[in-house]
Amino acid sequence: MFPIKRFAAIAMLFSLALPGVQAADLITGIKGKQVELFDVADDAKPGRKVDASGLPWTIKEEKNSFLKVTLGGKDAWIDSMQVNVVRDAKSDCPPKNSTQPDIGAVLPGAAPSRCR
Amino acid sequence: MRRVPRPKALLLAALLASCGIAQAEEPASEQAMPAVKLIGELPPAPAHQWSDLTVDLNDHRTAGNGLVSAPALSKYLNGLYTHIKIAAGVPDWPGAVHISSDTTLNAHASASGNIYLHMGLIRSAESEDEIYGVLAHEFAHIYLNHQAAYEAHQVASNAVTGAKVALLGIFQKKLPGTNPSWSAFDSLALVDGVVHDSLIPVWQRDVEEQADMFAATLSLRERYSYPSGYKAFLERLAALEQREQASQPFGAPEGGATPAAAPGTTRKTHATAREREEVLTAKMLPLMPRPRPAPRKAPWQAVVKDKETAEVLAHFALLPEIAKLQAAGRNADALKLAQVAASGATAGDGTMLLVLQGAMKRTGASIEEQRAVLLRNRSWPERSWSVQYQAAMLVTPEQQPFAKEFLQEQYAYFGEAPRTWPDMVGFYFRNGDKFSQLALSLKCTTEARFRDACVYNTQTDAQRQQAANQAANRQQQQLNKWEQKLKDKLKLNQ
Repeated sequence: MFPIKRFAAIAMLFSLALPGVQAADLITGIKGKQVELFDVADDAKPGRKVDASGLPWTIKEEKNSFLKVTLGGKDAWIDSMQVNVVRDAKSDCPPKNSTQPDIGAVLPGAAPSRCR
Repeated sequence: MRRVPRPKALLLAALLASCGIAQAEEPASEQAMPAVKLIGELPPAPAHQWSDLTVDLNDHRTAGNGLVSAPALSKYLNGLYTHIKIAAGVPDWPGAVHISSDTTLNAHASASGNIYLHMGLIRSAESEDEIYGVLAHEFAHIYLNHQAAYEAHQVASNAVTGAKVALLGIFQKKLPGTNPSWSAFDSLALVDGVVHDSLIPVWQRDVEEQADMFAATLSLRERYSYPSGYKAFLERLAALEQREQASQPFGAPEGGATPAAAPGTTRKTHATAREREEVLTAKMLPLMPRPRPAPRKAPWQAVVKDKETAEVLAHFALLPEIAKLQAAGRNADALKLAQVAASGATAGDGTMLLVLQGAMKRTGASIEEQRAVLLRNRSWPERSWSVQYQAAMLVTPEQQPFAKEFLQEQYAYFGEAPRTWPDMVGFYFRNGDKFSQLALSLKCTTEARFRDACVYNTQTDAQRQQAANQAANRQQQQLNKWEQKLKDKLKLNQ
């Protein structure tokens, strides 16, 4: 194989391997009636309370459990504890193994089984 | 957030109790199963009866495509597990972390102390906080002895099946708004939904909530970030739920509604991820330390970028691409990608070899070539039963004696794990080895989990059809009997 092609193939593989870089995470809801917007990723000073409109909000950055979003053309930080976030998940059902019964011998997992 | 008990659930609980069904709950309460009442406090560890580590590992090596070999990742995960045991005050407890080839976002624990992280979870996680949170959740099930109680609840679940059938008659006539055109099967599904959603999963949801609180407690103690950790994991689950709901067809499927099979099927045993996250976050909010712990992304990123681990993850990431190519009929391209997937750090991995063998089959490779690929798994650190079994299937009639010898060798290698019994019985059946078939079939009757599968694998298609018809008749008769009995008991026979 031509070295450049080989390099490209390896680069492609490694890009597939790195978690969390493909899809943008979103804020899809707020936990209270209003959400606080902060100028920095910290809540030492009180934020400005605003209504949630135009959801979902794309998360541009994450720092100290605060999420950076752009609202009305301006960047603001939101406490991740105050919002509902939908994050990227890589979960695929494997091909069904027809030779085996679908029987679990252990406790149910951290999530319910998704593949039947 | 407390759930208000629904009147229907209470009525059902009373009914079940009156039928003696609720007695099946007793074994669970007899187990030493401490409860986590608050975040920040752990109950003392109860006495444990550990199940055999090797038996447990063989059970997992024979399930699905088995386990994944990724030494650097395993070392890292086991380091975290050691810290969790120390934080919980039980550093000497048995068990290790293993990587399951299951590609879903999940993890599970066993009564041996082992924890299995699925590839879907490993591929999705972005920080050590997240992995720590999930490991701590799984460890909670071990620490709190949930396995023993879960087994008791499985017994209860079997007993409830009888009650479901009895309740059918009542629900068909008494539930307001019940569609009179529904068949008995549809109504059974409704009853199934009501009973399960109301009783058994309430216990299981409570167990999951306790494990969530346990995970939050350890995360706080060890100064892991909750928002970037366990909360992030629940948010990924919520994303999956959202995807699933979006893919559900609107309205009832043709041929009758089956409410219990609606999107809520995945909610039977667990509250939704969104609910779990809401409850836990509300509890965590007043406990959050100041300043908040920074997420530990660097150690996790370092381990997933380790050359070998990165290659394992990259090859697993190819699987959906291969499936897409095959779905599009591009079998030659799929084969090329499958060859990449089954190379380097996953050259002998069970999943990759089965995918490669499948791709080779689609492009017309001979069975010798396919078998040769599968046999690479024999010298791999993680041997997969599925691969060995598949290799034994790829023989000509003249090679059958060798196949039997080979498979029996594998059977011994996997400690004669019960999970292999249905395969072995089926193999003997197809090859006319009646003595071996009978001997193993008898053994299989002692293992409730696989009994039916063993029987199924020794039936011809005609026998299976006949058995299905008989089962349907029996179910109808039993249903009629229970309905009458319950009506008599509750004087509903007017």
